[in-house]
Amino acid sequence: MQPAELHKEAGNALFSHEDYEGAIRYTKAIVQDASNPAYFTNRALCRLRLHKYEEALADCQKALELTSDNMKAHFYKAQALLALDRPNEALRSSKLAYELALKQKSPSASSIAQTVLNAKKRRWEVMEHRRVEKEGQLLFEMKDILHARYETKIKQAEEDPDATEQEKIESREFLEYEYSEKISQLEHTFERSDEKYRKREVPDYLIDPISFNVFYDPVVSKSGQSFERSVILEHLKNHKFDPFTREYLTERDLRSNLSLKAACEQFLDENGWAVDY
Amino acid sequence: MPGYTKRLGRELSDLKTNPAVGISVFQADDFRIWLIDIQVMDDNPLYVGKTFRLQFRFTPTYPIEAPEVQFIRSLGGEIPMHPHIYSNGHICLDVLGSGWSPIQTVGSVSMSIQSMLAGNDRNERPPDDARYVASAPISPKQTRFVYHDDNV
Repeated sequence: MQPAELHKEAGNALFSHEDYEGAIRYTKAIVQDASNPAYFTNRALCRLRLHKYEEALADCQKALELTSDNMKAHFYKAQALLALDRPNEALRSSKLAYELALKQKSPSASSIAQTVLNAKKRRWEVMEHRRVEKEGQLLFEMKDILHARYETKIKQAEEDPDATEQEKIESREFLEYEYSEKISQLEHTFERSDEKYRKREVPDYLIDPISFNVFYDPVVSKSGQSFERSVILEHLKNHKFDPFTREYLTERDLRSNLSLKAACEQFLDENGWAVDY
Repeated sequence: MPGYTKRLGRELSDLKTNPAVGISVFQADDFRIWLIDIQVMDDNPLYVGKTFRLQFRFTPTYPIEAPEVQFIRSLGGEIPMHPHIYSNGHICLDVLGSGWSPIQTVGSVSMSIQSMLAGNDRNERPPDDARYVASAPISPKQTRFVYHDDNV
């Protein structure tokens, strides 16, 4: 056996015993043979386990330079990016990994689908945070403007040469009332727009009946029921029947449910929290 | 199936917030073994006033593969008398074996068992109870049950 392969075997053994530091013997394999992408993805996985995400990312990039459609490289890259809080990039990589997993009929498909959902959730959280911040700033600014106007009006009322003392008092009371009404209306309007984003129930029809996750890649069976693709494939491996009707069902009978998929994408865009409801 | 813990987590939340009548979670501290208490709600004289305990055991392939389900004796409790329930707690019910589907849940199985009890008036064990219990495997999933009549 080539010395590079020997190092890889030794690395694999250490990995299966969770000795990730030791498994970095892959480094030695790479020094011997830097053209095998598997050495890089194996090392990337070790680094993920050791929480060394920048380095894992670098290894994935190298593997992708060698073979651009390497499922593991895209998958580990997505995980590293998510840990580094770069959800948009993580989403792109995990989607690529998912498509490759389907093509290769890899059992990792459902794990990868889960990573896609996690990336969508994180992306939503980041946007939510920005939105709330911006809204908070806008609300503050509007309140400021209303207050400035109120002060101007108060001053005008004070300095009105034609008004009696009694009239001035009444004006001031009215202006105070008007100002506080406006502030409360403003706050109410901002609150109402926020309620759209508050947590609700996730509608049943957006949820896979086997894994209970929001759909990412739904398929519909002969009975008209929809399932998450990677999950129903797992079921059909050893049980070739429709979970609802028990009639005979195989992979070939499944069709993409494109409108449901679109509905779920849109729902998750606005409700990233639903990934972990 | 990866993520079976996610599904079980949701089932547990649901069982706790929307419990079906007569079904309650006695113990669920992990994703391996749950204990669910069952009561038969109508006045069936065989079971009125009694609480029975079901033990659910899950594997990482849940819900693609069925959980292992059997009655256990809780403190002072008993195994319910039923022509399809052996005295060691093993249950002869299709949904637990060949009739399992991954869309079933702990809740739906518990309800099936609950109605299996509710619809029964025969105060007896299966005819082969003694023989079965003497040689039964620890796990009822290893038994090849023959599902008899649907009258009970």
